[in-house]
Amino acid sequence: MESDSQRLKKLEKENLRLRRAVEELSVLNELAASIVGSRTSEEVIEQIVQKSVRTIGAEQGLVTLVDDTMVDPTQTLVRSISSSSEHAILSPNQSLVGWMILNKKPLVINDPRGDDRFGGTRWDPSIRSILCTPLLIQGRLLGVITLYNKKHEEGFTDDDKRLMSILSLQSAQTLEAARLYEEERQLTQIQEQLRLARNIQMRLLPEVMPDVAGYDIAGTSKPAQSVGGDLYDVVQVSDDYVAFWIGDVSGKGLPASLTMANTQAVFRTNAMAQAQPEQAIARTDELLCQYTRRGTFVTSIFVVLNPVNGTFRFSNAGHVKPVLIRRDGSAEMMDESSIVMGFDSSVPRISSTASISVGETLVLYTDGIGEAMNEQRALLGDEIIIKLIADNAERSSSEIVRLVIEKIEGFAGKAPQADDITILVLRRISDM
Amino acid sequence: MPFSVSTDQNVGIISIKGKFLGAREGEAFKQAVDDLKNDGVKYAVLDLSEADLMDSTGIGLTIRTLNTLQNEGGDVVIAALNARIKNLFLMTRLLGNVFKDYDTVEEAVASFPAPEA
Repeated sequence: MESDSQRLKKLEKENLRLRRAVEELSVLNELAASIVGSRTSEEVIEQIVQKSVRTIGAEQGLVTLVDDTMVDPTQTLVRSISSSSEHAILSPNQSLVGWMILNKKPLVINDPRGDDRFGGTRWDPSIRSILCTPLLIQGRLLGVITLYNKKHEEGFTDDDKRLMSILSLQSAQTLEAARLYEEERQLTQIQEQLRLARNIQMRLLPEVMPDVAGYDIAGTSKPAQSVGGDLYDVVQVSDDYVAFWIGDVSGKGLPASLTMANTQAVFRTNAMAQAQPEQAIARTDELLCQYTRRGTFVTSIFVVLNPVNGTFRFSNAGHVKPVLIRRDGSAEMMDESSIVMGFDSSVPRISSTASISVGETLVLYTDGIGEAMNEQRALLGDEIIIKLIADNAERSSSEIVRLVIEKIEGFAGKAPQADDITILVLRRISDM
Repeated sequence: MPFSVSTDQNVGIISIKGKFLGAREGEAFKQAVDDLKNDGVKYAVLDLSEADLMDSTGIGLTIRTLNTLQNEGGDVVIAALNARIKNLFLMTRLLGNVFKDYDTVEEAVASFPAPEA
């Protein structure tokens, strides 16, 4: 028979265990609540450190994040946040982090200098006891929580270890969620900036074509990514001076789009000053050589048309040859060309003269058209496009542009657009 | 764009396989060229015998390679271009004016001055 005093002791013990369990639960609950209010992983870590230091009664706490994508896991220390009021801040110990990367389980060291597992480690003289738990997500180590020096007692207990294990488990999940949230927010910001950049770039391209008497002009540009490196424009400065051009900056995406904007601006300035084609190319080339990094270049054709008589001069800097489609449907490639811009501004620039008659069509385009790829990685080829335009020469320029884009899209199917695509079509429709 | 680098009589030979598309492996390629330069190599051959496609970024990388080695008093030539890549070099007017091309790597290597004894 149990005596009353025995039963009382047992009850007291049970009571203590229950009270402890309630305390633990309330700590975990409190942690969960405070973490929910934390927006950034920085705040989450701060909360984890504060709460665990207070709950366990340690002098100092520290979270060390580990980057498991790096080759040498012992060199993966990213950042750590510690909380300490009365002691010098201890730096995270590489031996502890290294041990945790290998073992991934809670660790108590109540006699650091006498512990065989850390024989070669030089501990800070102020360290008396250590409690270390892993922050694990599906077996992947995010980081390590380290508590130093249990207050008022000999060392960390099994209960401390157990509570910290639960706390680490919960913390790891919250930390991971915060990290993913931050990544997603960064991605959204980048996408938003790209969208703005695209809007800006679209405004650099002509929205409507100038109404040049006797001509029907249309064009379009489709970047492979949000922004691209292709450019074109048509500017009528006087009755006998219409400049139009097309260009293709090497590379794609944002870097190419910056050079595109620059080239477009310099070409436009040259057009406003009624520059001759070889002058426009030479001046733009000089600036590109000066201000772009090595390896960036621009292919382009600059054309100056006298709309009254249909004569035009053009200078080609390493761009796809312009095509003049005659009334009989034959296509004439205009051969004259010099080196790409942005490479060597000492190269003399040349221009050639030709003319366009009523019923003829001049086509400028970028190599993204002929090099459009389908899912089998076959190329569309320029010939198909030139034939398509010749077969539809009676249609309006905007219809021709639409047909070309449809042809490319039909050919590519589900294959992603490999390069920026730009086309400019100019038809002479009357000789007024 | 996997590529490999070797040297023959102090001439760097950069062999490119498959698609020379620049964007993805551009940094590694630049580093390989800088390493050649730092090893004292002034002349290089771009071996395109196993390259089947090239884009403007790829051309940009060849230009950068040329600039790098010309600044050291050296030169870069191209070997074994296929028709498609040759057309790109012809269009941009970089062939002849800027880059000389040879049918084989051996001919390309032989085009450079013999290393000093």
